Amino acid sequence: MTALSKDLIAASSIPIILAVLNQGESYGYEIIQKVKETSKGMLQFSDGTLYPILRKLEDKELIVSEWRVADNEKRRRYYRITPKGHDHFKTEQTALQLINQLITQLWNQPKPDLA
Amino acid sequence: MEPTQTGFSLNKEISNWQNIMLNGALTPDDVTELTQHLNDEIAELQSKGLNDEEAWLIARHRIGSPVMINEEFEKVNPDFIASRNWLMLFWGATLFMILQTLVIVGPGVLRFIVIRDNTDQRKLKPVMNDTTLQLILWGLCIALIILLVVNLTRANKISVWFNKLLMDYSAPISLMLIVAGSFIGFCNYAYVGDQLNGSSKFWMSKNAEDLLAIIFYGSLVFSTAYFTMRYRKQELRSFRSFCNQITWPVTLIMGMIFQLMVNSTYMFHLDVISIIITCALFGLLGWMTGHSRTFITNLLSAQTSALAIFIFGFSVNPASRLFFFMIYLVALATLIIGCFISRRNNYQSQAA
Repeated sequence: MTALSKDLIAASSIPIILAVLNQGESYGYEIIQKVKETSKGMLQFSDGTLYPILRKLEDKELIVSEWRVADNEKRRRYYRITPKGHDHFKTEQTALQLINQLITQLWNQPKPDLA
Repeated sequence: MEPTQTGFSLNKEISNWQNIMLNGALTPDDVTELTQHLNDEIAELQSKGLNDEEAWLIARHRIGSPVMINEEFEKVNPDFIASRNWLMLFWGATLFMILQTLVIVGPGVLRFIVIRDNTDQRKLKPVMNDTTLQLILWGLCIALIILLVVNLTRANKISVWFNKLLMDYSAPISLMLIVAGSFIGFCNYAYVGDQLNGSSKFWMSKNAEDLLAIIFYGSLVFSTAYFTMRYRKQELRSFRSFCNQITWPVTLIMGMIFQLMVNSTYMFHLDVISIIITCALFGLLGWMTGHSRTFITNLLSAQTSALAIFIFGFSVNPASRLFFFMIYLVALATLIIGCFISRRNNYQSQAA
């Protein structure tokens, strides 16, 4: 299994969280579980550091939160993506696809013949 | 979850962990959310067959060390520790005021309470004789010493208990404080004012004295109640996030408090001081309003008190019409300038 560097996880954390919330509202523990399941365990946020990222996104008005009592009587804070967050996610998605294409093209280009 | 044979108690461990987290940069809401996360993690591990102790150790490791979590939260809650310290400072002052009423003002007032004498209905006699009053005072002295000793020996437990009390019952405590605190503040002021005026001629006029008392006790009681109400909320975590959540009732109350402060400077009979204080206070209010979402409504509500004082002063005091007009104009101008500066800064930081 390829280990992902901390820098790469940190850089991609915002688009990943926005992508999860783009599928529907969720709470902290569920976001971590979804990321873990989708990445087949390759990517896991440090649990305690997810919440400061969520606060940052709230400050930027990309997501909003609300305390609610869940079906199992537990009080949870649910996060939801805002229209501004949705736009930001689309922009980030396009940028990441571009970077991915660029890296793939550069990677597959034949090496120049130095002889 | 009862303690196991090895003496391990999951509830106790979670409670200790919460107390550690509550001493850092995490708001009570943050701690509640992280605790919920921890409980979810523990429940999942227990469903896989792990016992309480094993589940706790793994969950605690996964959530990260308290130092690391605290460092991360310090970045997003930069002003929370200062806000909490301010709240505790306000509470310290309020509790001191309550104690002062109980041990100084209360017994002082008891001396003046009189009833009709049973033997001679035309005569009045004090409810308490000197011996009873002395006994009460001795009792209060002993109670104060016990309070001091308990406070010194159980400081940590008291602080944790008080913190939890503020978290769980912030709304009823704030309401009680407004009602009881206003009454206690009035009692203190009435007693102290009576002592001062009875012994010497005070240099200030009675109106200025009353105004200062309202500002002093009013701002103490209302600030303590307001910050207690908002303690659980996230707004206190940074000054900007607080400003961001400001609504028109908040700017209305702040405008009233600031205007009262400006009015208290009138007793110096120096226009320059009134203008400087107006600039500083309303400039700050404008700057804070500029960060809020509904800044135009908030700006209108912030200037209401200044407008009311201008209209009142203009109609009742024809000699000082120019002065009242000037103060209102300065308040309005600094509000708008403060708001404009913070809006411009916001746009610049967003563009960056």
